[in-house]
Amino acid sequence: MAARLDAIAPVLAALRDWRGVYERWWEHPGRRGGDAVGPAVAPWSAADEVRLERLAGTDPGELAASAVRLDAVATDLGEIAWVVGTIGARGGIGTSAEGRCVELATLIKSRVAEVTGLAEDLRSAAAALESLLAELADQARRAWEGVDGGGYRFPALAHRDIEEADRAAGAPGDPGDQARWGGLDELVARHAAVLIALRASVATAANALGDPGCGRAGSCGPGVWVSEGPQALDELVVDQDYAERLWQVWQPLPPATEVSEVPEVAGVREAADVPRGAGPLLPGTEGGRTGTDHGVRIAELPDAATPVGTRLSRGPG
Amino acid sequence: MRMELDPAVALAGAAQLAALVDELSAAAAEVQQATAGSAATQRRDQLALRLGQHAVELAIVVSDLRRYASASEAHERAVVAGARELESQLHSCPRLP
Repeated sequence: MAARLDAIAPVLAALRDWRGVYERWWEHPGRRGGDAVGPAVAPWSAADEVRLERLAGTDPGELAASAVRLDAVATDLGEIAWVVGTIGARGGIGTSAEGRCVELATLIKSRVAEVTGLAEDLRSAAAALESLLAELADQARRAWEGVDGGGYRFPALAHRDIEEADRAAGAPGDPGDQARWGGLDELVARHAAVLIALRASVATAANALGDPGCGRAGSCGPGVWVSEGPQALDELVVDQDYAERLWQVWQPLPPATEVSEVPEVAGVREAADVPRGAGPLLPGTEGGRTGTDHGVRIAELPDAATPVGTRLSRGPG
Repeated sequence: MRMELDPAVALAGAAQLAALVDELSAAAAEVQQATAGSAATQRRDQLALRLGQHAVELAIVVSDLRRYASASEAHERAVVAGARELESQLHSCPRLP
């Protein structure tokens, strides 16, 4: 286990070294995106560190050893159940005690299966984790070259470019702008690729363990994102700014279509059933689509016998 | 008190079961100490808890048996003492005509 973490350590150290630059780039209002740097990838965060730490805290060897010990416990429990049952069946200790012994023997026998099941699951988890950690270590080795500074030898040089970008923000056509952002974009793109691979591996390993993200006390509960650790989220305030941002994502429905224009397909007329213009429409669902001239069709449940005409007569007002 | 059981048999059974209580407790502790990873921790703890409960239930049976044996012995002593007392009183009292 320690060897696996040693393999990842240089990558983590490099990510931490350049994290300040990445964060400044990420938060910079003038930063570029899209083709310049590939998909937007959030900087390496404390939550990432926690997830990795939680994963690293689970040693496959210990899991396997526990499985062996649990097998022994299951064997012991089987013997205990047999003796308790025998004492109960033999008699001589009173009806009540005999009945309790037989009952307890049955219960203890059922625990044998549970302990054996847990041991099996731990063995499977150990094997899966071992394999995934090996893969993670391999990826870390391959990614090692990707987490250097690119064109920058030191983080301070990258910080200097960001500061110059700040100063040149109001000067359109600045010839140095392209060079500055080019270097920063290259640095971020290299790190982003490593972050994607690292996060994917950690997520896969965590899923293999069935980790719900609540391994630590207080890390789950209302207002807490499982993936973001124990810090509580801010209270949501619906103000004008929030509403504007919301309406950038959600759009009003297109103008109403006459009911008679909408053909009924297999007794379903969903497009017309939606009161037009009465609510938001998720981007990507509006407009026509080949074979479905009226957008996404949603079949009615078989027992919904409401006549189409009746439904259409209901409007938003 | 119903004294249909042999206190010696009850005590022997209690001794056997008491040893099993210890073994059950040890099994519960072993399960509790197993490294399970965060996913199986709750399952492991519940299993250990149930085993611990079984140990307690069995310990109650042991306790009942010992209490029965103890009461039975006291009862027997009281009966013997009463018989002796009665016998001595019979010896000391004047013969009836």
